[in-house]
Amino acid sequence: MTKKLLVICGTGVATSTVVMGKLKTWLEQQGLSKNVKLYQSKVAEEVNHIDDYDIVVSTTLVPDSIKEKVIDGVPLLTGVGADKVYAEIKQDIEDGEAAK
Amino acid sequence: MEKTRINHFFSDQVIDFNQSFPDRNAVLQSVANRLTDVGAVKPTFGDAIIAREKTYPTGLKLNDGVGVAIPHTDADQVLHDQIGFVALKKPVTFRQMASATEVVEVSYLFVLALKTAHQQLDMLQKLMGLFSDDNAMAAFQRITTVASFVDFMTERGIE
Repeated sequence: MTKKLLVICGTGVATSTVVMGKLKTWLEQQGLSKNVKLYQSKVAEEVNHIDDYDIVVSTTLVPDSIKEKVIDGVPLLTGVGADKVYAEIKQDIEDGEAAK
Repeated sequence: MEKTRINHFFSDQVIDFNQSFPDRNAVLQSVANRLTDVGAVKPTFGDAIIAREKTYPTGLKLNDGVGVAIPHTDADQVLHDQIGFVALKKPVTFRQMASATEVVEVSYLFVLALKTAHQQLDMLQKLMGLFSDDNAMAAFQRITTVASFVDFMTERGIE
């Protein structure tokens, strides 16, 4: 099953672009490119569509209503704590794979 | 007179060192004014980044504790690509990106005026790459002149 991974930031241009690039490279390195389809947007446009995605990574503050579902992507920008974020994303990608 | 150095994103007109501002909004407005003067952004850009910073803060605390911020807003406020840079004498308080509570004492601002951000992945990645490279950031923090700043950025491919 292909997972849908959404990357969001405030404007949908600058930081989400960087995170998209990082994730793309990382997915290729992990050999997971085929398992994930990447989407990019701004938070305001996705608040009501969040359930359309399997994994959501944000570089901005998100409303409380969707907080549970969102992974903080800021470490991917600064490198501080990035490994933990990658591990969390990997877990989410692999989730459900076993049950298939 | 010092030779004028520019690259695609940086203009010596919008690079400043050793600046003092009372608060975040004052420094944001100052950079916005400079960017407006060089024709990079619309006059409303300042209000836009100040408002945007409240909702979507852009402060980043780096490994060695230094604080940078990358204020930016929608491309419709931008006339041509430009990054305004300010090094502060005394840090001003920003909120940490993606945090409701954390604050960052910011010493360096890179105000991103980007017309077509999607095509600038390479530059943005290299800029973020600089932020996550402790050795490079140590060298960066020793820069005190416009010319060496532009050279440094150009050498790192942020151009």
